Amino acid sequence: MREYLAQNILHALVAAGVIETLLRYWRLTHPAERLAFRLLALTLPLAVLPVFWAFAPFRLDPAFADAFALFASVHWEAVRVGSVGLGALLLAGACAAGVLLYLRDLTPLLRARWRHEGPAVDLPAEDSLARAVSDLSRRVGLRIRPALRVIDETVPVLFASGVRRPALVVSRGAVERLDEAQLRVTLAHELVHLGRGDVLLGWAVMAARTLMLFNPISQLVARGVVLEVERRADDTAAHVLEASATLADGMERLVGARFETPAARAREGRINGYILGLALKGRAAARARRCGRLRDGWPPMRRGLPGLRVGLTCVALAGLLFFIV
Amino acid sequence: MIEAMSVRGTVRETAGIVGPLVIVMALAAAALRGLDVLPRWVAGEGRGVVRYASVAGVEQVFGERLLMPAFFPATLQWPPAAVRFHAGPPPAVAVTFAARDGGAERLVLYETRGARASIPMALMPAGLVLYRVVVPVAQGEAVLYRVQMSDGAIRNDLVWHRDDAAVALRYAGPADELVTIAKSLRRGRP
Repeated sequence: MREYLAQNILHALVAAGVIETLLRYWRLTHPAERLAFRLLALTLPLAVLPVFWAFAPFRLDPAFADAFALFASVHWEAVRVGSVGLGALLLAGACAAGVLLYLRDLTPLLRARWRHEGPAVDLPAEDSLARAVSDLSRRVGLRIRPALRVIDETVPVLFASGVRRPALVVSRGAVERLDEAQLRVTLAHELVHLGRGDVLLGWAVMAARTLMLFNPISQLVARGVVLEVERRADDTAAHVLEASATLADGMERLVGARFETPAARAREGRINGYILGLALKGRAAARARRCGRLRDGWPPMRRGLPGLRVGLTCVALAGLLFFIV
Repeated sequence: MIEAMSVRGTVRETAGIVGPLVIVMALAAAALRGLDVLPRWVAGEGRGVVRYASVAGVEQVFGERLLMPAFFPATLQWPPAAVRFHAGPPPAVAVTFAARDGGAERLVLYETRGARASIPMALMPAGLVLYRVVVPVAQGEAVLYRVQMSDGAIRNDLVWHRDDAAVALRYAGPADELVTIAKSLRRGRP
């Protein structure tokens, strides 16, 4: 068990490090290409270890660690902190960090789901908002029109949900705060999520995170996956409606409005003084980068031979991970 | 003409993918190797001493099976607590066995290649010799030393030369048990 945890974390660390370096080296900016690499970084540590254990059980032999391994965590047991090996201490710390990161993202997700399970109205097809959604669904290539559920809340809420029964959830607060163009492009963004199956992908990522909840690196990589999914939806919506700057404006207005309520301001002030404040600032910076990209760095350039890049990286990384025990 | 340019472009693009990939992988492998060596420095091993995770691992670099006692007192714990290698020349190995009950170092088995070689100090720190006596072992005679280590601990050292190796045992137990262990040494597992 301990060997599995240590190797999974090490593999995730190496895979993430190599892939981040390659993304910079190759200057890959297109979200679809970056998403493929981030998914590789997330899934490879989960996939290779059972395969290695099934087909190369000799990797578990200490002689392999001594003679062939590039890195063996067992060698760090030689460094002692008191009566405990440094390797064991680092592993315990990493596992604790992984669980904290997982819970930190799971809690708001569940809270948001419970909160929006409340009363919502399905709009009739003749409503102007429903007509806009119908038109946008066609333009982003959705085959079936999703249900449109409106929440009677002043807090701006806008998200896509449902795998078998796709739905768009929007609050009155979101509709009131956005002008028509901003509303159309932000709705298009959510419809792109439904069209690309991002809701299912989101659950799959959450499942992978649950399987690796002890792994802090995978938890961070999963956040990167979600960010690329959002960017990919940004790009498609901005491309379909030719309104990248409008989408950036709409997103900023929606996010800014969330902190306008007295309760949200009080909460922000409360946690600003703590370490969590740093995380909030980090999220705000990520949002600012996402909007900045839509204004200045859009459209992103596609590089050639994406399949070859991902395939070669996958094979090379699997080979490298084989020698990390 | 256009086709040839397209092929050339694809080849250039492929080289642009493979080149950085090889560089990044090589750098990652080098960094991992460095991190693998780091604990030996941090643990304060002597110069030239490499720690191994297993007897089998050190045997691969040593070049032959190590001498192991067929008589293995119940007070000792298997597998060894530490396996260290000194590249020499000549190459030498130290295998440390901890006590089964407390984890303290109880028996260290040293071996170096070459009948006239001596165990390097980096593996076997010297102590103050309190007395010495010659005792018979399987292949001739050995010298039994009673030594006081720098931390004040008393140990029994047994040192002798075989045809192919110089061997030493350092034991925190009784001298007669140490001689029995020495007489039972064979190449292979206990």
